[in-house]
Amino acid sequence: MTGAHALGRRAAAWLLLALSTLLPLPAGAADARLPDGTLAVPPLARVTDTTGTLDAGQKQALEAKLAAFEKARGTQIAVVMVGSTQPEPISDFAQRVGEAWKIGRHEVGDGMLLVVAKDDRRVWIAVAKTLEGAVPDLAAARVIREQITPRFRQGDFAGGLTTGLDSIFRLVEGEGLPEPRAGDAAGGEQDLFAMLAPFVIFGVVVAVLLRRVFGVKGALLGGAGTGTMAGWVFSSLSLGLIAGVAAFFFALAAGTGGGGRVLGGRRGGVFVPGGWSGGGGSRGGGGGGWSSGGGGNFGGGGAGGSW
Amino acid sequence: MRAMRILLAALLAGVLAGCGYNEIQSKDEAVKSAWAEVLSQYQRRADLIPNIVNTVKGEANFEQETLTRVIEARAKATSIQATPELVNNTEAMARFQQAQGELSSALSRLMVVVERYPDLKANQGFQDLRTQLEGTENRITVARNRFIKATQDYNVLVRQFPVNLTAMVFGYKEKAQFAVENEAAIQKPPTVDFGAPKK
Repeated sequence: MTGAHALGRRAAAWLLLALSTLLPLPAGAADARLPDGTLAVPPLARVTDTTGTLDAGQKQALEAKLAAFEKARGTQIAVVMVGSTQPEPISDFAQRVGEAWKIGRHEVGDGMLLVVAKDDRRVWIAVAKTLEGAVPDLAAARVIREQITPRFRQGDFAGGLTTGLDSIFRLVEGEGLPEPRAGDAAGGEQDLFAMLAPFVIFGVVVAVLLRRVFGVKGALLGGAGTGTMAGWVFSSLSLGLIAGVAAFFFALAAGTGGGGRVLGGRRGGVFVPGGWSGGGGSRGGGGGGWSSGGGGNFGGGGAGGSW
Repeated sequence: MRAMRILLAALLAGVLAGCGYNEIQSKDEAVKSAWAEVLSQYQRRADLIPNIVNTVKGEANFEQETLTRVIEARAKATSIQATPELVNNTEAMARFQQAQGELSSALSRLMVVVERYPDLKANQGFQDLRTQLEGTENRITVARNRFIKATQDYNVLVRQFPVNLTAMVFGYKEKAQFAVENEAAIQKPPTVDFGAPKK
């Protein structure tokens, strides 16, 4: 039986291997890799665990912890747990994640990453430049040495992460960072006018010019362009709509608008910027409704350890 | 007709901006700030070395040759005037890079040799210095990569038509890039052979 059987088994193994390289691996089974063999940067999330070490409850608890801290202090911290970062050192991987995610408030830049390579038995804390004062390399190393690795050594990953984060929180709290603005997500609405004014003014000028040349179609084009631009810049469908419609109507009002054409124009004016800025709007969306502030500048600061 | 004229004026302004003068300015500035970051991180490393050397010296019968190499490499690296103008001088840039590369390799050699001294490894003060050095080396890597990227952006811009004409008129030349040929040899960590007798 041996010959044919072994051959069949080997063929099956090869087939599996071939398939596994062709098919995208299911999430959680293994880490996605880039063509050069290094780990792909995982999608943005507060807690990433591709090793399946943390159970759902632990993961949720960590996420809630990080969310609460962000709400209280504004600082964005993420935990990334992967299998192995080989062939590159964990610090390089953490740096790449930091550069890709740019976590930290836009105007403050306070972001931090806690990266664990479980199979390599290594931890790395990557600190964005704003936080290098609050969490110097030595402090990061101490947190890893005293809080994280002793628990990891005993297999208590959730415990190590939790106490490690507690220490990090205390360090960050000691730094006089700006308080989070009340209702940060809705904060933009307050200075809506100041934000949109440049777009609308510029849009009106262009739309008026275009209107002189092309008539209402020109104004429509100007309005659509303004809406697209504003929508793209702010990654917001509604802001783009407001800017576009405002520019369109200002442009119409600046000249002599024909009543019948306004109606048709408005429909187009509403539709076009909407369709465009929709794509822009989706840019901000990350994993699980959490979005990066985009301000974190990771300059290689931080420290690591192993267990 | 007047509208057409305004439109033409706007178009002309667009073309002028398109000749790249403004872009040269912003990319030139980007290279300068990236370079400043590189220099400040190298300086940070140079400032750290005396502490490391002193701590290591405290260890009885530490391999002197390794230590001397670090001290000499640091002296050589800091003797080169690291100015912002270095980016405009390919030769000086190469010398600077060479000296810093030698310091890198002397330092990593030192860190390998340290592994043979358990007392030193257990010394908390030395552990802290080591962490700081590690962080500094990481920052240097990041700063260097950003400088390489910024310089590349700038050089590509000033070489491309029609910006090359603008660059020529205003005297903007290509900037010195970090060379990568000898880089591989410099960056390679030294191999350790505990068994072999020292030469």
